[in-house]
Amino acid sequence: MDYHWSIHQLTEYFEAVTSQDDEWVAIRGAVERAVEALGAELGLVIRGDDIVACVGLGRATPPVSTISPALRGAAFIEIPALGSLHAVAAGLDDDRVEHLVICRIDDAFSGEERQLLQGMARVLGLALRSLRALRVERTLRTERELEAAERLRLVDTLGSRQRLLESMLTIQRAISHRAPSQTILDAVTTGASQLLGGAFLALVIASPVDGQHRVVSSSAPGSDDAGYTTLVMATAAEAVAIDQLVTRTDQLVDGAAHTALAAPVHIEGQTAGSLVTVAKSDDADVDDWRATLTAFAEQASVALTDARTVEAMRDAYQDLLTGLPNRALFMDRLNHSLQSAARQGVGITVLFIDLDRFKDVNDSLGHAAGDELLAWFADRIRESVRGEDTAARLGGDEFAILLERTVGDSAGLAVARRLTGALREPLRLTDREIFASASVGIASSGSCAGTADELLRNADIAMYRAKRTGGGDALVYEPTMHTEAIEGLELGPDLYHAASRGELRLEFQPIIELRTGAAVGVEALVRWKHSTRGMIQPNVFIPLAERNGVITEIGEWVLRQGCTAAATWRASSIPDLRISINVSARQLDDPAFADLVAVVLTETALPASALTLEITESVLMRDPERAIDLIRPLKALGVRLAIDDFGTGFSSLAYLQRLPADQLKIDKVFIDAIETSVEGSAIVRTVADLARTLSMQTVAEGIETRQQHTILQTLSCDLGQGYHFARPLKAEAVPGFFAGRDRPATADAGRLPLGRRIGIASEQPA
Amino acid sequence: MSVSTGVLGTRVEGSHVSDAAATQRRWFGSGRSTDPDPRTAGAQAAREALSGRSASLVLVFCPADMDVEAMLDGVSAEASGVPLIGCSGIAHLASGGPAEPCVVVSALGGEGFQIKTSLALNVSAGQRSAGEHVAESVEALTSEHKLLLLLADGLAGEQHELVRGAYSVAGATVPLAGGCAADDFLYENTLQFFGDADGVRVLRDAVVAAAIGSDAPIGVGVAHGWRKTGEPMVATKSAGGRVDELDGEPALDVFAGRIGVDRSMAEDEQAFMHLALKRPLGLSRRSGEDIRVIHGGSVASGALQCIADVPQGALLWMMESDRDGLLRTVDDAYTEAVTPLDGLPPLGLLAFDCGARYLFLGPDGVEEEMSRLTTKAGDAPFAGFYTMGEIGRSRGAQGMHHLTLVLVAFA
Repeated sequence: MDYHWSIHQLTEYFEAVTSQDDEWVAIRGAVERAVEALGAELGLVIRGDDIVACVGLGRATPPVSTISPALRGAAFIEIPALGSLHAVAAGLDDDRVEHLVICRIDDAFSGEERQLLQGMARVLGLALRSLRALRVERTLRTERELEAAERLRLVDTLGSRQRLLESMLTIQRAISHRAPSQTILDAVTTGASQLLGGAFLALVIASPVDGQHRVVSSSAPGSDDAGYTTLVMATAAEAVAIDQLVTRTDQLVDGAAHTALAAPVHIEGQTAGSLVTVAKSDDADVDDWRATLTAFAEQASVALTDARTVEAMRDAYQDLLTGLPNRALFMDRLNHSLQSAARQGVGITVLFIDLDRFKDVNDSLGHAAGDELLAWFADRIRESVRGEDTAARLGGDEFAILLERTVGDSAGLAVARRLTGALREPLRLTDREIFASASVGIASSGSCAGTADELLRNADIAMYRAKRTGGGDALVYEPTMHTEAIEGLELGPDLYHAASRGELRLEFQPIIELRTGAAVGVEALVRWKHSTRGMIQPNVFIPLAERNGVITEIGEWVLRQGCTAAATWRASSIPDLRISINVSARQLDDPAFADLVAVVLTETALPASALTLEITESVLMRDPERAIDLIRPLKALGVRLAIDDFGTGFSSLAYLQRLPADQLKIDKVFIDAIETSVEGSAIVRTVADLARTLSMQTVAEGIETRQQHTILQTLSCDLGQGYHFARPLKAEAVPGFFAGRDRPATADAGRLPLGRRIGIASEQPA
Repeated sequence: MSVSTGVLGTRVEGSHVSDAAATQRRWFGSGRSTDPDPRTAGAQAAREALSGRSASLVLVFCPADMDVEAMLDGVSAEASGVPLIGCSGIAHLASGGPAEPCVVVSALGGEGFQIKTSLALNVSAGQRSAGEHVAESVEALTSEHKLLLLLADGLAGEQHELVRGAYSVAGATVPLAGGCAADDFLYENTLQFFGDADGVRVLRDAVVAAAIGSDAPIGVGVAHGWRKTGEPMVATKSAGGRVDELDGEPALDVFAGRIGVDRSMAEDEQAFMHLALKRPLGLSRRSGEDIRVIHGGSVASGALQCIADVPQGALLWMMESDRDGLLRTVDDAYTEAVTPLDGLPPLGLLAFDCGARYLFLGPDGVEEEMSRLTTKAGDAPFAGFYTMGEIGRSRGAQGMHHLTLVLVAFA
C-alpha cells in the first residue's frame, strides 16, 4: 500500500504556522499552506460573520453568505469568479467560533483530506491561542514586567514548541518508516506525556471489530495502581460522544482529586476514540494542557487515519481464517467481563474447545481440508452462542467461548451439548465424509480467584481431561483436575526412569474367539506404579511418553516383557497363545525397530507368528506408502499386523488393500453403537465383510455387555475383547483364565465392568 | 515612471498597456541567433521574431556570460520602445534550431492582446512582497483571459514565496507561468532584463513580469516525469533550501548513502552538483511529488543545499527518472497547455524547461526533446530557455517547480 500524502503534512504545517509571532501573518500563512497542501484554489478563515483571511480571490473578499453553507456541511459553494467549488470546513477550536474553510475546483475532498484539514485548523487554533495570550499579557503588565515575562514566556513557548515539534517529528519518522502501528501510537502517548510533565497518558480507541473502547497505548502500560481506568474510560467516552475536549474531576484511590482531560481522536473524519491525560488536580494545568493534548490528538488522528494502521488494527483482533475474534481480543473481553461480572455480582463461564484428532485430518486429507473443517466448526460455534457472548479462535484447533451472566455451569453444559450435537452429523471434506468431534472444558468464574488467565486455564485443564477419555466429551472443571495436570507436568522426568526403577509392569487383556468363547490370545497393556504417587493412569503417561519420546524405551521394555511372558506361557500351559503388543508411531518410524523385534523374538524364542503388532489406523494412514515400506520388514519376520482403532482414521481402501495386515480391530466407538442403532450394526457388519474380503480377522474392542457379544456373533465378527470378558489381568492370572476358557462360558460376574460410563473405567489399585 | 521605496527595497513600476497594434491580426513569433557578435545576435533574433510586425511584448533569453548590453541594443534596434522582459538561461530554445546557448527572442502582438509589464528589485529581501507587487499589474487588464508571466532570479532564494505573493494578488482565475534566470551552473551571475520606452536595463536580484490579457484562451501545462523511489525520509532539520538533517542524521550522509557515494564527494562542488542534479528529492504532495534539486552539499556541516525550500517536517523521497520519462513530459505538458484552448490551434508556445533536464538528457536527449516539441507545436513557433526553476500554475495554488517543463500556449 502506498503512503497517503496527507498524513505527512501536519508536522510541516505545524512548524510553519507556529513559528510566526504575528497573528495576522500566522492566519494568512496557515490558510495559504492549507490551500497548497490540499491542492485547492481558495481558503478562508471565518470568525462569526467576518472573513478574517482569504486566499485565492486576489484582493477581493467574497460575501460571507457565499461561504457559510460550508460551515453547515454543504459540499459545494458558488463563487462568481470561480464557479462551483468543493468545500470543507473545520473549527479552530471547540468553541467553533472560527473556522478554516478550503475550497477546490476539481475534486471532492477525501476522508484523509478532511482529517488533515481538521488537524490544520486545530494547529492554527493552538497557534492563535498562544499569540493572543501573549498579546493579553502584553497589555496587562508594566513595561519591565512585560519584558521579563515575555522573555520567559517566549522562551517557554519556544521551548514547548520545540519539544512539541521534536515529538511530532519523532512520530512522523515512525510513520514514514512504516513502524508497527503500536510503535507509532506509543510514540504519540509517550511524546504527549513528556510534554505534559510526565503525566499519565492513554490513547483510547474503539475496536473496529466490536466497537468497544480499549486503551491501545499508554504512557504507563500494565499498571493501574492509581485506579485511573474508570476515570480515563469515562472521560474518553464523553469526549467521543460530544466530539469535544472534555474535563472531568474525580477522587481516586489515594483520596486526592484527579483531573482528566480527553481530546477526541478521529479516523477518516469519524470520532473513533480519545487521547486522555490524568493528573492530580493540584498539578494539572488544564488550560496549558488543553492545547498540547489537542495537537497530539490530531497527530494521533492522522496516524490512525492511515489506512494501513486501520487494517493492522483490524487484523490484530480478528482470526483471518474463521473471522472470529482472536486470542488477543478474547482475553481482552474476558478481562473486561470478569471485572464487570464481579462488580455486578454475576458469573461468567468459559468453554475451551479442542477438535479431536484434528492433526489426523490435516495429515490425511491435507491442510485445505483442515482449514475447511476449522471454518465449518467456527460456524457451528457461532450458531451455538448468543449475541452478547463471545466466540473466538485461540489458534490451531483450539476455540473458546465466553458466556456472559451465567449462574453455575448449566449454561456452559448446554452450549457444549449444542456443539457436540452439531458434530454428530457427518461433515463432507474434499470428497470424504468424516465425523468430527470435539472435547470441551467448562469453567465458571466461581472456580478461580478472578483472573482471565486462570479461568481460561481451568477450562483448558477440563478440556484436556475430557480429551483423555477418548474425545467427544464435555467436562466441568474441578480443582482435582488441576492437581492432575500439575502431576502430568511433574511426571515426565520420572517416566524416564520408570522402567529402570522397576515401576512398570504389564497387564494382559484376554482376546476371545466370539463364536466359541475360547481365549486365544492377550493384549499386553503397560502399567506404571509410581514410587510415591501410586498407579498412574495410562491415559496420562502414554501420551506423555509419546510427547517426550520415552515411548521408545517403554515400547522396547513392553516388547521384551510381553514376548518373554508369551513364550513362557506357550511353553507351559497355553501352547497356542498369541500376544498383541501396541506399537507407537515413533517405534514404527525407527528404522532399527524391525531389527529389535527380530532380536527380541530370538532372545525369547517366541515364534514370530505368535506376535501381533498393533498399530493404529491413523498412524498408518499418516503416510500410507511409507507405512507399507516400514511394515514390510516386520512382516518379513513373520509377525502379524493388526490395524488398531479401525474406523477412526481415514483409510483409503486402496491402501487398506495393499497393507499386509492380518487383523482389523474395530474401535470401541462402533461397538458401543451396535445396541442402540441399526446403522451401528450395519457399520460393524460392513467392516467385518470388508475384513473378510481382505483376508483379515476382525477384533471388536471394548465389549462390555452380553448383548454386544451376541450381536457381534451375528455380525460375523471373529474376535473380541473387553470388560464383558475380563479386565486386564496380572501376568500370574493369565494361565488360570485360559484354563477356564476353552469352551463357551458365561462372564464371571465378579469381573463385570463397573458401568457404561463413557470414559476410563476406574482401575483398582494394585 | 514612478519610484517608490518601501521597507523591503526599491520598487519600480512599468506602466505600458500596449494597444498600438490593436488592428493587426494577432501573432506570435520567435527567433534565434548564434552570431558571435552579441549586437548582431540580438538584432537577428529580434528581426526573425518580429518579421516586420508591430509587437506588444518582447521576450529575450540569452546566456549570462555574453555582453548582454550589446545584445539588448541589437534587440532594441528592432523593437524600440516595446515592453520587454527577459533573463539569462543555461541554454535556450526556439523553433528552427537546436536547443543550445544562444540568443532567443520571442514576441507577440496584434488584436486582442493587452500587456502590462512590471518589476520589483531587491527581491531577496522579500520575495513575497515582490510577487504581490508585480501581480498587481494583472488588475489593470480587462481581457477575458489573463496570464501573469514571471521571470525571477534563480539565486534569490525562497522562490515559492514569490509565487505565493503573486497568487495572493492575482488569485485563482489567473494562471502563472515563467522561469528563474540562470547562468551556466555557476550560481553566481543571473540576469533579468526590463525594457520600456526609456530603454532596457540589465538587473540582478529582481523579478520582471508581464501581465498578458488575451481575447483567446491561454493554457499552461506542467509535467516532470520523475517518480519516487525507495523509502521516504523526514526533513527533521531544515531551513529554507538548506537541509541539515534527514531522519535525524546529517542530510549529506543520508543522501550519499542512498546514492552509493562517499560524502567526501561533496568537496568537489562541480562534480557533486552534476551528480546531485540527477538525483533530486521529492516532497510528498497531493498532486504528486514536488521536486527539489540538490545543487550542493557541505562536508563540514553535513547539510545539503537545495535551490528551493524544504520545509522542516516534510516527507521526502529520492526521485528517479529515465530518458523516456523525461521526454514524455513534452507530450504531457503540451496536452495540458493546449486543452484550455478549446480546440483553437496554438498561436505560439513559450517553454520554461529546467536546466537540470538539459544536463540529464544530454545532447541526444535534448535533440529528441526539441524534435518532439517541434512535432507537437506544428506550425506554432515556440521559444524559451533552460531555467533554474520553473513557474507554472493553472490549478491549485502552488506554482514553483523544479526539474519540470512548463509550456504556455497562446491561441
